[in-house]
Amino acid sequence: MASIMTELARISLALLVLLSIMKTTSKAVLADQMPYSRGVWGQLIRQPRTWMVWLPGLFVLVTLLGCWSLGYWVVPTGLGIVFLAVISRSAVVRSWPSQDIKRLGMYTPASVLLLAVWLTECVRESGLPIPANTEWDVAAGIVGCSWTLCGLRKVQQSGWAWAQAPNISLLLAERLYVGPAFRRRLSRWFLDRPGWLLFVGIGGLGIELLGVSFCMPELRMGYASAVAGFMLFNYLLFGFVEMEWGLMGIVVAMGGTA
Amino acid sequence: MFGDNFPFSKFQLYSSTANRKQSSVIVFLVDGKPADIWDYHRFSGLDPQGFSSKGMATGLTWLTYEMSRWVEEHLEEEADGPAKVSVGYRVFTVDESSSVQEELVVVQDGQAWPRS
Repeated sequence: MASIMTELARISLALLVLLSIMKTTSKAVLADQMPYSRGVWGQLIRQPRTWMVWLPGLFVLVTLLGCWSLGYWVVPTGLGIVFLAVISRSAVVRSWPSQDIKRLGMYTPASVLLLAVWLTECVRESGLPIPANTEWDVAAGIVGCSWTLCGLRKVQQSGWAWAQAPNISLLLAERLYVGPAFRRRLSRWFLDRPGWLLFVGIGGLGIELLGVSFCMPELRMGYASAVAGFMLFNYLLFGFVEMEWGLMGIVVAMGGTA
Repeated sequence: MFGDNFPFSKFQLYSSTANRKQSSVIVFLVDGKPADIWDYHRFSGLDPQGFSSKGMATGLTWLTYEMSRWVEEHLEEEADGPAKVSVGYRVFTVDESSSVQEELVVVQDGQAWPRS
C-alpha cells in the first residue's frame, strides 16, 4: 500500500511539474497579450500558432517526466526535467521584469519539490545509505518551512493586525472588480459582514503559522488537506489561482506514507 | 546578503498589507465609464510609465503592469483616437463603522482607437 502511494505521489508530482512548466512557459509566450488579465488557456486554444513551435519541447518534457515518475533512469531524466524547468523560468523572467515576476507569484513550488526529491535520489544512487522515503521528508521540510515563513513574515511586518477585518476588507475590496461575477458577489457578501472577515484572517494566518506541523509525518495529510481546502476558499473569495500550492502538500504527504 | 531572491526568499507576499490605510485597483475608462482595455488597440496622449501606482497601495500590481505594457506597445504619437479614455484607480478605505468606502481617482486622460 505504501509503495503504491509513493508511486502515485511521483506521478502526481510529475503532473504538477508538467502543468507548472506549461503555465510558466505560456506566460512567456503570451507576454505581450495580457496573459494575467485575460488568462492563458483560452488564448492558447484560439492561437495554436503561438505554441505549435513548442510541441517538440513539450514532448521531451512529458517523456522525461514519464520516465522519472516510473523510476526509469532517475538521475539523467531528473536532470533533464530540472534543466527544462530552469529554461522555462528563464524565458518568463526575460519576458517580464524580475521584480514583477516575484510579485506576480511566479514561484514554481512543484519544480522545487521535484528538485529536492531528485537530489536526494542522486545521493542515494551515489552509494550513500539513504533510508527509503527520505526524499519525501526533505520535500516535507521545504513545504512546512515555506508556509511557516509566510506566516512569520506577516506577523513580523504587520503584527496581528494582519488577521483583522480592516486588512482583509482592503485585500478583498481591491479585487471586487476582477474575476467572475459569482466571486464578486461572494466578496461583497463578506465585505458586508466584517465579523466574518476576522475569521478569514485568523484562519489564513493560523494555517500558515501551523506549517511546521507538516514536519510531523502523522500530521502531514491532515495539514495538507486543510491547506488544499483553504486554497480553494481563497480562490472562491479572492480569486487567487494557486492549485500548485494547494495540491503539492497532498502529494508530499502521499509520498511520505511509510 | 542574497536579497529577496530564490531560494533565499523572504516570503513577503502580502505580508505588509496591514500597514496600509487604503487599497486600490487600476481602472480603464471610456467616456468616464469602466471599459475593457483589450477592446482598444491604439492609444495616444497617455504616458504608460505614469500608470504605476506610486501613492496608490495595491495588491494588483500585475494589473497595472500589464495595462501599462499594453498601452506602451500600442502607442500612436501622430494622431488622436476617436474615443476619450482615462486611466485611474478605484481607491478603497475602511471607515469607523468597518464599511468599505470607494472613490475613483483619474490619473491620466488620452484617446484610443477601438478594435473594428
